[in-house]
Formats: sequence, C-alpha cells, structure tokens
Amino acid sequence: MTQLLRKFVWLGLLALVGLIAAESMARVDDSIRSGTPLLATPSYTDLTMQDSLGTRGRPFARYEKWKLNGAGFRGREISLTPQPGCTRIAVMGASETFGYAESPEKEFPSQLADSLKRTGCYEVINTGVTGLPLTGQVQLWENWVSRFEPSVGVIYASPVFYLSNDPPAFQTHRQSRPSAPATTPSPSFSPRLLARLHDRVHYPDFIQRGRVMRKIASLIQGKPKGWVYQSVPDDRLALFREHLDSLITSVRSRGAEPVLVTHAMRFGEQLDGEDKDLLRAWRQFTPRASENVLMRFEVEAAATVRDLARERGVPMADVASVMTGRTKWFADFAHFNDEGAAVIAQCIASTVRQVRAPPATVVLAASR
Amino acid sequence: MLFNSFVFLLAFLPVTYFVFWTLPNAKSRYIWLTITGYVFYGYWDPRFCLLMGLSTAVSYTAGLGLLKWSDPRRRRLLLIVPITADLAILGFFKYANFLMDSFGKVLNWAGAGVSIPHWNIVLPIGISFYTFHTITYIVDSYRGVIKPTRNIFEFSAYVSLFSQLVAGPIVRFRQIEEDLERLGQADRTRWLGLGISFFVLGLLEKVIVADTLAFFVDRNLAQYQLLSTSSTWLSMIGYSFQLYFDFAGYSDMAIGLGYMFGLRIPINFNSPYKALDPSDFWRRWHISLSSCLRDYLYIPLGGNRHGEWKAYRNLFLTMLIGGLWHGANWTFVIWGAYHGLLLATYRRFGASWDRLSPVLRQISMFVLVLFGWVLFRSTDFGMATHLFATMLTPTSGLAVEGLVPYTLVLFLAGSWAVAGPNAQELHMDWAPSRIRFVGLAAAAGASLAILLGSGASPFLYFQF
Repeated sequence: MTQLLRKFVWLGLLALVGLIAAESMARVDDSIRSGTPLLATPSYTDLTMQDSLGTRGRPFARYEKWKLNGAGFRGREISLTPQPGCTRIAVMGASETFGYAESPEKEFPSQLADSLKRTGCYEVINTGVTGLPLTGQVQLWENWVSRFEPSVGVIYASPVFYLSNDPPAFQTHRQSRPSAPATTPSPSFSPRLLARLHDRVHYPDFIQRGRVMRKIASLIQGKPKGWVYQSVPDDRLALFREHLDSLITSVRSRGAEPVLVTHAMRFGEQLDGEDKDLLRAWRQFTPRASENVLMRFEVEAAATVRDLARERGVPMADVASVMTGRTKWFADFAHFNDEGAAVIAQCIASTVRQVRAPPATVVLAASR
Repeated sequence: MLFNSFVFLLAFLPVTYFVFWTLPNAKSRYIWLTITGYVFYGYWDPRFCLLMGLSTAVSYTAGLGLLKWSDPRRRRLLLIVPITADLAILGFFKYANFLMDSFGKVLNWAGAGVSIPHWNIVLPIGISFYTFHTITYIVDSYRGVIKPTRNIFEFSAYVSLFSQLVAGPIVRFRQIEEDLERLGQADRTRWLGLGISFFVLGLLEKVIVADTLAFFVDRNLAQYQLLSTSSTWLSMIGYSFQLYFDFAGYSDMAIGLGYMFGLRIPINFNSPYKALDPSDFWRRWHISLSSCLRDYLYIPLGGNRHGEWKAYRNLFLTMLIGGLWHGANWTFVIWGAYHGLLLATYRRFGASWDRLSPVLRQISMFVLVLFGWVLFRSTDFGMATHLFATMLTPTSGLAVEGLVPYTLVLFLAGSWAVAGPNAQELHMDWAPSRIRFVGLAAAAGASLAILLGSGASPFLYFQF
C-alpha cells in the first residue's frame, strides 16, 4: 500500500515538473517568437487601444501571429509621407481587413500590395482594426490615417455591427490617455499552457453546437417580445448607409479618393450543416438578429453600398457578388482564408488600377 | 502521421504499444507491427499502402527464391528483377517528371521547340527509404550475408516498421534480425526507460531546437534576395543546425520507439559538426545512408581496389547518386557532386589537411558543409547563386528578423551541436534514475508546450 502510494506521489511529482516546464517553455516560446514579455498575460485585445485619436492599433503591439508597426498598423514600418511618384492606399475595415484567419502576410491588404506592385509603385497600409465599426473608422481616418497622406481610401465596412443591441455611434467622450497596455506584467497568473490547450482543442460539433445555443438562449433570455428582429431593421440599414456616407465625405475632404467594397460572407442560398453551425456561431455576436435576418442584412447592406457608390460616384469593387456563398474562400462566416484574401485583393486591385493608373516611375515600395 | 503530432503521441503510440505487449508470441507481434505500420503509412494516403505491399511481396518472394536456388543464373535473376522493379517504382514516382523536364529543357536548348508534358505524380512519403530497405534485403540475401526469412509476417513487419518507415534510419535486415527473431520473448521493461529517454530527447531536438530555428530561418530565407551578407550567413548557419536537429531528432525518436518495442535500431548521427574532414563527416552524418552507399554502391563500383583515379571516380559517382537519392532536383545532384569532390580531394590531399590544428579543421569542415547546405536548401540554382553571391561579397540589405532571440537560439543550438554530447553519448551506460526521469518529464513538458503552440511541423527528411 505504502509502495503504491509512493509510486503515485512520484508520478504526481513528475507530472508537476512536466507542467512547470511546459508553462515556462510556453512563455519562453512566446517571448522568442512574438516578443511577449515572460510575465505578461497576453490577449488578442492587446492589439488595440483607445486614446485621444480614437480606437486604433496599439503601436508595436504583438500577439501570436499578429504584429503591428510603430503607427499601430499591421505590417512593416512606414514613413509619414509616401515615396515620390507612389500611390499610397489606406485600406480601412474591421477584422476581415486586419486579417484574422489568414497566415501572416496573406491578409488581403498584403496581397493587394503584392498584386499592385507588379504594375507600379503603390504603398498599401492596412489600417484595419478588429471590431471597429464605420463610426470608429471615420474617427481613425480623420485623426490618424489621413496624416499618412493616402491618396486612395479603400473602405471594406462590416455591416454586422449595425445589428448589435446598441448601434455604432460617434463618440462624444474621448479618452485623453492611452489605455494601459495589457502586456504589462499582470499580478494575476494566467497559465499560457491552458491558453495553448484551449486554442488547440476543438470540441466535437454536437458539444460546440450545444454551447452556442445555450449562449444565444442566455443572451436573449428576459428580453421583451419583439427584441429579436424578425426582418431586416430599416433604421439600422439607414444608419449603416449614413455612416458610410460620412466616411466617404471624410475621405474626400482630405483629398483622397474613396473606393467602396461590398461586404462578402460565406453563406449563399444553400446552407449545409457546417454553414448552419457557423451561422449560429456568428449570431452570438448579434443575438438580436435571427440567422435569417443576419444573412438578409448582409445582402441588403451590399445593395446599399452599390447604391451609395452610384449616387456619390465612388468607384466600387463588388466583392460580394464574386465571393458570397463561396465557402472555400472563407475561414468562418466572414473572415477570409489565404485563398479568399487573394481573391478579394485581386478584385480591389483591378478597381484601384482604374482609379489610379500606375505612375511611369516604378519603385518597389509595397507596404506589408 | 508524424511522431510529433498529437494523434501519434496520444492515440497511435499508446494503442500500438499496449496491444503489442499483450500479444503472446512473435507471430502475432509481427502481424500487429505490420498492421500498425500500414495504418501509420496509410494515415497520409491509404492508396500508397498498395505500393509498399507490392514492394514487400516482390522482395519477400525474391528472398524465398534465393533461399531455394543456388544456381548462379537464377540467383542473379532474383537479384536483378526485384531490384529493377523497386527502382522502376521509385524512378516513376520520384524521378519521372524530373527526367522529362530536364529532357525537355535540353531539347529546347537545342532548338527543338517541343513541349514535354508534366505528369501530376504524387511522391509517396518515405518511398526512398523503404525501397532502400527492400533492396538491401535482396542484395544481402544474394550475397549470403543474411539468410532470407521464410516468415512473411516477420519480413512485412521489418519493411513496414513504423519507427523507421518514412524517414529512416535505413535499417538493414541483418541489423535487427536478431531482435526480430526474439520478439516473442522480448522483455517489455528491459529497454522501456531507455526508449522513452531517446524518444523524448529526439522530440526536444525536433520541436524545441529545430522548429524554433526554422521559425527564424524560414522567414529570413523567404526573402533571401533582400538579405545582407551577415544575415545570409546567419540564416544559413541556422539552417545547418536546423537540418541536423530536425533529422537527428527524428532518428533519435525512431531509435527510442525501437527500444520501446524491443528492437535496437542503429545510431544515425554522431555529432557530424564535430567532423574534422569530409570522410569523418560522412561517418557521422546520416550514418545509415552513407554506410549503405558505401556497401551497395561504392564497393560494388570497385571502391579503392583499382587505383587512385578509379577510387576518385567511384567516390564522386557514389555521392552524385546519393545526392540524386535526396530529391529530383539538379541542386541535389550538384550537392552530391560537391561532396564527392570534397571526399576525392581529401583522399588526394588529406595528409596536408590533417596537419592543420583540429579546431581549424573542424571550423573549416563546418564551413565546407555549410556551402553544401546552400545547394541543399535552394529551390533552384538562381537561389543558390544568389545566396553564394551574397555570402561571398559584402552586400547590404535586410537584417535578420528577430536578431536577438535568433542569435541566442543559434548560439545554444550551435554549442550543443558543435561541442555538446549527442544522444548516443547521453545514453552511454544509461540506467533509470530519479534525476533522469525528472529531466525527461521537464523535456517532455517543454516539448508538448511548443507542440500545443505551433502544432506539428513536418520533418525535413520526409520530402526524400
């Protein structure tokens, strides 16, 4: 009995040693590969910050595969002014633009740069910020992005923010100080090993489905009747149009040429089992909209972008008509995979070339 | 399936191990090893199991024939036909497109203006390795070095042994014949600790050292045209160590797995960067391949038995073919030729070389090997030429990404490779002890943490 107990204690000690080594190695590995401080508690939110300029990328932030430059944009360092003879393009948007699911340097602004540099001197800045609606993009453009003197502003707006309980609105209160970086040493211990395990382990579909359904049920529990949209809310669609219109005006007011891009999603007319699961998962972020409304809203928002482009004479890349429903180009509901990012980059590149034909002098300066 | 994947570590290995040791006799264990070998191989693409099955059947039948007949003509036929069949399969899958592309280029160069089609052939993983296994079996049977086995299960277990199936070491039948024969009486606990220790050390070499180096090296070499001279040197030094720890790690895992199943698989790396001359290097690097090249190619070509010049020629040809074995690309052929030249030159001027101080010889040998790795790593001659040009003429350009952590990792890995003990030396007089198990637990935990972070990366030698 005592011998058996000793054996268990010994095995427990070995397991403890293994765990300590694993946690230490996870931290060293994070430090080597992404520069995360050993004692920090990193998270995806480290990549964004709020200051007097609005919500933007945190300069030099790093988290896993994502790295920001000194201006808080994804990609390599850029100068304040474009190279002489080069066309600088700012790509604005949320996580789809920032590049959520693609491999590093495969997010669509990067591939747009690759595509354009074959024909001339273009510099592409990825100013996308995860979770940033159009209102935030207006603020970011006015206060920060326009300082880099882009001559083209590509706008890839996510309509889904307009289905959340509180629709996007222009901020009246501005923070004067940057929020504390989340990568500073945190007093609370958060095991990196557990985070890695969480990233790696995929629940079986039926468990994941149950979790999502329970979460949605808890989000809509106790809400008054009619809280869940049964049809596309016209007021929200109008708000989306209004904010997009503001951004067009803002881009033009700084002397840049806006380019609109219709928003694409994975879901087409026919949905298979995986699509349905993903659609339900998407709804977690907008519990007010049923799955059907979510899809219809996307379709009508794309139509709104087309209308607005026509009315205001803005060049447009109709990505939605090319990509929506083509599941192989999406990593989830609206985020692209590497292949999908290449497709949208090609679509935008051909529109940009029409807007700004390549200059005669050709210098390689594509920002990535 | 990869040794460093979770499906292998958490499902395949435990199931294979526990079922294996509950089986009562050698025959059932052979069958189990065969089944698991095919599952391991088929996990990648089940279609190619047929290819391995065919190769096994042909070689086994040839072995039976060699056992039965003593007539030299029949025996020669039994040598030539199965080897030709094995080489034809290998040639088709590995070299058909390469030969046709090269032929097309020559024709176009001559102004013929013809278009040679490119076939969509998938290269079966590990085909070069198991083809070597079967060929060495047939040749050894023909030479009378081994007595071919009548037991089909024993032979199929040898060919499809998952630990050495897809990336070596190239284990000759005679090297594990004794252990295979005694598999029914093998003691589970005898080499278990040793096996685990080898496996964990190999995992550490692969996952922590090689993959961390690869993280930097791959990113830097992806933009090799833009690198400065120092960055190119640093990247290529990193690649030299990455390749070593990747392949040595795989080999050590294979050796460890062998021990766990009662099979002693021979050493494949013996600190190659401690080599003092080209001959010494090939006695230390991929030992199972270089010894096969020596025994089945260099010596049959005449070795050094017919004068100096023929010895140079044989060395050169052996290494040229060895280069081609690595891959269907002219860069590999030239890499092989380069090493053939090094060996021949050393044979001619070795006496002068040996008078240099050991430190100087070790450093010089490392640099010479590193030049070879430039060819080995390059996807084409354009890349190789560019890398050589940047390394040999001062060029400004991009600095290495992540210079500080990369240099630190490079220093640690380099120190281990150049001056530290190798797996074999670390396991000299191995005996279970508490401190060893604590070390193993720490190494396993650290490796798993990396695997959880970045996932299982393929071994570089899988492509061969």
